[in-house]
Amino acid sequence: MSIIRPLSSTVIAAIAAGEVVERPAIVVKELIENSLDAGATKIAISASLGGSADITVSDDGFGMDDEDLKLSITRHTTSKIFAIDDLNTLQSFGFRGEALASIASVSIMTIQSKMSSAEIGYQISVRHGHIGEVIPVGMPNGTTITVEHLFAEQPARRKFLKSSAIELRRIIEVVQAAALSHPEVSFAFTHNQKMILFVPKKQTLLERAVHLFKQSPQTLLHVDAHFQNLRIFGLVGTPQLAHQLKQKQYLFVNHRPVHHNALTAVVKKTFGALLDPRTQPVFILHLELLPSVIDVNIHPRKELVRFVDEARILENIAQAVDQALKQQDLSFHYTPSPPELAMLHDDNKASVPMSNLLKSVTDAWQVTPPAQTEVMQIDNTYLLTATPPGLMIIDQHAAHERILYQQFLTTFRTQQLQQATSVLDPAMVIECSAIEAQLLREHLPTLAKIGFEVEPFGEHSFKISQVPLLYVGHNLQQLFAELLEDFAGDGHPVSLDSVSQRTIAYLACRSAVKAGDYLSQHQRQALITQLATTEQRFTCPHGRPTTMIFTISDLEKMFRRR
Amino acid sequence: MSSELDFENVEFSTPMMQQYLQVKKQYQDCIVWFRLGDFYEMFLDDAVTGSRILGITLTSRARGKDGRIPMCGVPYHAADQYLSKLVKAGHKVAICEQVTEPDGKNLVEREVIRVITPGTLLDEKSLERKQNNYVLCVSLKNQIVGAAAVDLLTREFLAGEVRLDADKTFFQVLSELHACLQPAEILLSPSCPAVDAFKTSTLKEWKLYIQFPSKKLAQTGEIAPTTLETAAALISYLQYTQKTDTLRLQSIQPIWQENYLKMNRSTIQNLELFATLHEGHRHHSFLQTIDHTLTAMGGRLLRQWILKPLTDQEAIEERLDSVAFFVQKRTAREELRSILKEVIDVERLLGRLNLGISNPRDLKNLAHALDAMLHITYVSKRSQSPFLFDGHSISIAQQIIDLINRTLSELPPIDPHKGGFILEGIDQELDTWRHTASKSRTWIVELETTERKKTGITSLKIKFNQVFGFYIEVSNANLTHVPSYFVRKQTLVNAERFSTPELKKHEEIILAANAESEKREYDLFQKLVAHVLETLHPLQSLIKQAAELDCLLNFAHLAEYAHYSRPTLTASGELNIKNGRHPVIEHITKDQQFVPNDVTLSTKNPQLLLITGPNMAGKSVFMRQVALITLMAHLGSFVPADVAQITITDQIFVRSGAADMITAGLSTFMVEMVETAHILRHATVKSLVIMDEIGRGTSTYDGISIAWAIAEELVKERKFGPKTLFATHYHELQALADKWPGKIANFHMAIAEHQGKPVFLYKLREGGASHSFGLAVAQLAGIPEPVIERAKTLLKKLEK
Repeated sequence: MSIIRPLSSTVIAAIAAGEVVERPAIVVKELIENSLDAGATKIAISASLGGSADITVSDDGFGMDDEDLKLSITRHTTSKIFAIDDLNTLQSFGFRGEALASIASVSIMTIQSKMSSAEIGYQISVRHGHIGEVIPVGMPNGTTITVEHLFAEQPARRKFLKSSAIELRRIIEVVQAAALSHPEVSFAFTHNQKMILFVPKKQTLLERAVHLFKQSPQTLLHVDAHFQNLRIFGLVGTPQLAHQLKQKQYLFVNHRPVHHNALTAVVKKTFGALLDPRTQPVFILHLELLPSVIDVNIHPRKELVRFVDEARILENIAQAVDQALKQQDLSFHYTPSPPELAMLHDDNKASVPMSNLLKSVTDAWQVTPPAQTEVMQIDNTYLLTATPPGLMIIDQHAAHERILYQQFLTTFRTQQLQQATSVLDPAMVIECSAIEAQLLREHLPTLAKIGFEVEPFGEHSFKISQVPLLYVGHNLQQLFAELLEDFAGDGHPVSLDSVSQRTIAYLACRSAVKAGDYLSQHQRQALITQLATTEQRFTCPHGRPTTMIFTISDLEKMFRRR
Repeated sequence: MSSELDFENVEFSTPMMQQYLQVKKQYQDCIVWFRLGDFYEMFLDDAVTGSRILGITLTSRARGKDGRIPMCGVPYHAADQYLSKLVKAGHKVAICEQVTEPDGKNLVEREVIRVITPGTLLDEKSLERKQNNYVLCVSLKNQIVGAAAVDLLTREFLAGEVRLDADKTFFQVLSELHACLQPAEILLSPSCPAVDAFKTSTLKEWKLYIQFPSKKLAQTGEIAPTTLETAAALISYLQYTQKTDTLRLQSIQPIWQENYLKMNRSTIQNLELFATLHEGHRHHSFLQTIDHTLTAMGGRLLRQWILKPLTDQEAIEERLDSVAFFVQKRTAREELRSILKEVIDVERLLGRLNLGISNPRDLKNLAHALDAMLHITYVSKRSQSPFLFDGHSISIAQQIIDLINRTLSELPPIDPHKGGFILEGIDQELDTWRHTASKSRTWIVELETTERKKTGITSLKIKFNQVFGFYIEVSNANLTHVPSYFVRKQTLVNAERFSTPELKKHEEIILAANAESEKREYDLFQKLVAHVLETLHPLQSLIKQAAELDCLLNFAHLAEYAHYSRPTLTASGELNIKNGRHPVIEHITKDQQFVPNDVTLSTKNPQLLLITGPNMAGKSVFMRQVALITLMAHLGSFVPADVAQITITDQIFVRSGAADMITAGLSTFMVEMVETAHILRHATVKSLVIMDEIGRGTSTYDGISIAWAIAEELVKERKFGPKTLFATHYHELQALADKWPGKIANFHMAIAEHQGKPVFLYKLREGGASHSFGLAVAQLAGIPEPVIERAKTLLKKLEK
C-alpha cells in the first residue's frame, strides 16, 4: 500500500513560493520593482498590520492588457514590455517573472491594470493559487496590486514572521531603498492609514537623500566618476554623518538594489582614518555598467552580485570615493542640533568642531601628554599642547569646571551621607516673581532632601534657614536665581538628582578659572594633569566640550598632504 | 414654573435682593449672573433655567416671612464652560460683578459689566478655531436690505446693502448671508419679515440704537444710508453688550463682494465647499480637504479666500508665483511651516486685549508670537522668498516685543491682581513698595537672630503662613524661657506661637506694602495693555500677512502631496483641462483609483456639453470637479490636473436637486425653477454653469420641454452664452446637438458590460448614452429580481 503520495502542483508552488517570498517586505519590493519597470512616476504603497493583513501597491505606469494580466500570474520568465534604455536591458534576476505567481500562490491577490491605449481596465483575482476570471473595471491608467492575507494558509511561514512593528520597519527600508534608486519617482507609503513616508516627484539624489535622512546637504558629498564601461555616481557621507546615521549603505547596480561585501569594505578602506573606526561610512552609490559584466548569484533573495572584472571595479570605486572626499574641506564643522537648524547657516564653515564626535573619538585614544610638555595659552582662554595622537586644545574654564564639579559631587555625596548642613543665622530672604514662587514651592520637598531648609515668608518671598555645608560662603542669591531660571525653563517639578546636579554645577562654574584668566606654565600643566584623571572629562557639566584633538592624520588631510 | 416677574409689585426684604431686582429689571431678556463672593448666582426663574441646562443643583435662599427664593450658582473659576453652555442653548447672560471691595458695613456695589450672547461669546475654547464668529444684523427699508456683520474678537466689520427684486427676495438674501458667513447670531430690524428657517431675534430698540453711531460712522466716509443705519444699530448693540463705547473695530469692508468670482448659496452648498450635502458636516468638505493651514488665522483666512476668488489675472498670477516658489523651495517651506505651527491664535488674543479681558500671560504669548514673525522674516529673506512682511509692521513688532520683555517677568501669571510679574527697575513707585516690604522682612529675619540671643532659645524660629502671618515659634521644652513681651498667638501640640508689638508693626508694613504694590502692578499692567493697543493697526496688519503666508504655504504643501500642477489663466474664454480630478473624491478614493477626465469648453464650440447616462456613472462628480478646478485656479492655487487652461470666470452656478430646502415650504420643482430663472437672468458669457438633472420634479413631457428650452436659451445668443455642463436623464435632449452642431455636443460617461451587469468606467466619452442603464443600476442597488423582470417587460412595451 502506498503511503507516499505526490504533492499537488498548487502545494508545490506554495512551498517554492514560501521560500522565495519570505516576508511582506519582499512582496513590497517585488511589486515596487514591477512598478518601476513599468515606468511609473508615482508609486503609492499601503499596508496594514505590518503587511500581513494587506499590502497594496499602485502606480501610474504602462499597465497591462487582459492577456498580459493573465500571463503575469502564471509562471512566466519574461514580461512582454521591454525598457528601452541600453543599460536597463531585460534584467531577469532569475525569478523576476515568477514573482507575482509566487506571491499569488500564498495569498489572495487582486491585480487591476489599465493601459493608456486601452478603453477599459481589467481585474483578475487569485486565491492561493486558484486563478479567477478577467473582468472589466473602471480605473485610471496604471496598475494596482493588492495582496491580502499573506500566508493565511501557510501557518509555518506565518510563524516565521516577526511582530508588525519589525515587519513594518523592513517594509520602510525597502521603500527607502527604492526611493533612493529612483529619485525622480514619487513614493507615498501609508501604514494602518497613517502616512509614514512621502517623497515628491522629480527630486535629485541629493534632495531625496536630504529628505529621507533629515540631514543637511553639506553632510553628503557628490560622487561622479566615469571609467571604461562603468559609471559610478551618488553620494557619500562625511565622517561626522557616520556617527549620526547607522546602517545607511545603499548600493544599486543599474538601479537594482544589491549587496556586495567587498565593495562596502573598499569604501570603508578609502575613508581610512577619517572615520571613527567604530562607525560605518554612509553611502548611496549607483553603478551603471553593461549587463554582461554582472554575474547574478543563484540566491536571488540575498541579491548578492558578482562582477566579472571585480578587482578593477573595486579599484574604480576606491578612486571615485577618494575623489569625492578630496573635494571638500573636512575640518569638523560645527552643526548645532537639531540638524534642521544647520540649514540656517548655509555658508557657516567656522571650524568649531563637534563635541560629541570628538568625545567618542578621544575616548578610545590616549589623551595625557607626557609630563613636562610645554603648554601654550591662547587668548588666556585655550591651552594648546602636544599629545601622542597629535595636537590637543583645551578650554580652560570648561575643563576646570568639570574638575571642580566632580570634586564637589564627591564631597556633596559624602556630606549627604553625613547630613552635614549649616544653619544660616541670620536667615536669608529671597524675593521672586509669582510663577517663580509657585515653582519654588513645588520644589521645597526636593530641596529639603538635599539639605536646604526653605520656607514661604510672604506671597512671593522665601526664608532660607539652612544649607548643605558645601554651599557655605557662596553667593546664595545668585544660586537660587539661577535655579529658579532653570525651573522656569522646565516648567514642571524636576527630580532630586537634577536639582542637586544643577546646584553643584552652578558652584563649579562660579569657582572655576574663567576665560581670560592668565595661567602660569605650572598651572596649565596642573590643569591638564588633573583633567586626565577626571571622570567624564570631555565635556563640562553644561555639555560643552572641554577638549579637542587633531590627529596627525587629520592634520595631513587638512593640509592636503593626503 | 411661574412666568415673568411683576417688578412693580414684588418686594424683597434684604437690600441685596433689592439690588438684584434692580439689575434684573434692566435685563429682563437675559439670565442674570449675580456675583456673590466666589460664585455667580442665578435667582428665581433664571435659577430654574440655569439648573436645568447646566445640570447643577437648584437650591433656595430664605426669604424670611415670604418663603424661599430659588437659586443656583457656578464657581467663578469654572464660569467659562457654564457660560458657553447657556449661550449655546440660546440664552443671553448678563454678568453682574461686584465693583467695590466688601467693607463689612455697606452693600457691595454691583454692575453689569458685560452681556454674553451667541455672537459675543469671547471664550476661545468655546469657539471654532478656524471659523469667524459673526453677529449679523439685517434691516429692510423701501425694498432695500441693509446688512452688517462683526466678529468681535477679530474685529472684522462687514456691511452693505442690496435692492430686492423679482428673483431676489428677503429670504434669499438672508439665506445667502447665512451660507457665506454662518453667523452665530442674527439680529433683525422690526421692519423685517418673520423668518422660520434661522434663529433670529428682533432689535426692538432699533430707533434708539441707530442714533449716535450713525453720526460717527458717517464721518469715516461715504456710506449708503441703509448700510449706515444697519451698521449703526449693530454697533449700538455691541456697545450695549460690552458696556463700552470703544470697540476699535477695523474699517468697514463690503459684505457683498463686487470684484470676485460670484457663487450663490446654491453653488456653495452643491459644491460642498464648507459642508457635505449628506449630513452637513465639515468632514470631507472641500475646505476641510484643502485646509492644511497651521494657524487659526490662516484657517479663517482660507475660508474667506474661498468666498472671494480673484478675477484679476495679475493678482492671481502673483499668488501662483508665490505658491510656485514654495513648491520648489521645499526646505524653506517646511521651515516656515514649522515656525507657524507654534503660533497661537494671536488675532483673537489681540481682540481680547482690545476688549479688556486679557492677562499678563497673554501679553507674554503675544511677544512670543511676534517673535515668530521676526523669525519668519529672517528665514524668508534668507531664502529669497517673494513674500515678505512689510518693514514698518516688523519694526513695530520688534518694539512691542522689547517693551513686553523688558517689563514682564519670564513667565507671568494669569491673575493680574496678585502682582509678581512686573520686573524691577521699571517703576520707581513699585520698586519702593517692594523695597519697603523687603526691608521689613529682613528686619524680621534679624529679629530671629536677636531673640535667639536674648532669650537663649537657640531653636527659636520665626515663620510665616497665610492664616496667622508672622509668628515666633517656640517648642514646649523652651516655654519657660519665653520673655514677657511675647504675646501668645496660637497653641499647638508641641509648640506655642507668639508675636511682639514690633513684629506686628512690621507685619502691617509688609501687608500694606504688598497691597499697594499689587495695585500698582495692576495699574502698570493696564498701562502696558493700553500701550500695546496703540499699535493695534500695524500688529493686526502683520498678523493678516502671516495668515496670508500660511495660506500660500498651504497651497504649496497641498500641490506637492496631492500632485497638483500650475493652472494657466487666460482671457480667451476657453476652458481646457487634461486629466482633471475631483480634489475631495480623489482624496477619499482608495488606492489612487480615481479616474481622471479631460474637458474642453469655450464660448463658441463646444459651449454646452450635454451629458446623458445613469446617475452612478460619475456625471455629477465630473461636472463638479470642473467647477472646483476653475474655482481653485481663481484662488491662486495649483489644481488637480495635468494641464489646466482656465479663462477668467465671473460667476459659477451649480444647479442640482440635492440641496433644495424643502423645509422652506417650496416644492423641489419650484425651487429648481426659481434658481434656474436666476441663472438665466444673471449668467454672462464669462460664467460657468453646471446643471445637474433639470426637470425632475414634474411630469416627463413637461420636464423634457422645459429642459430643452433652457438648454437652448443658454446657447442662443453668442454674446450671452456661458460655458455649460448640462446633465440630463432625458435622452430626447440629445437631438439638441443636431440642432446646434458644434455649440452643443453630446457626451456620456462610459459604461462597459460584464455578464449583463454594468461596469462603470468613469470616463467621459463623446456621443450620447445609448443604453438607459436604469434597470442595471436598480438591480445593482438591490431591487428584488421579480420587480426588475417586470420592469424589463414594461420597458419593452413602452419603447415600442
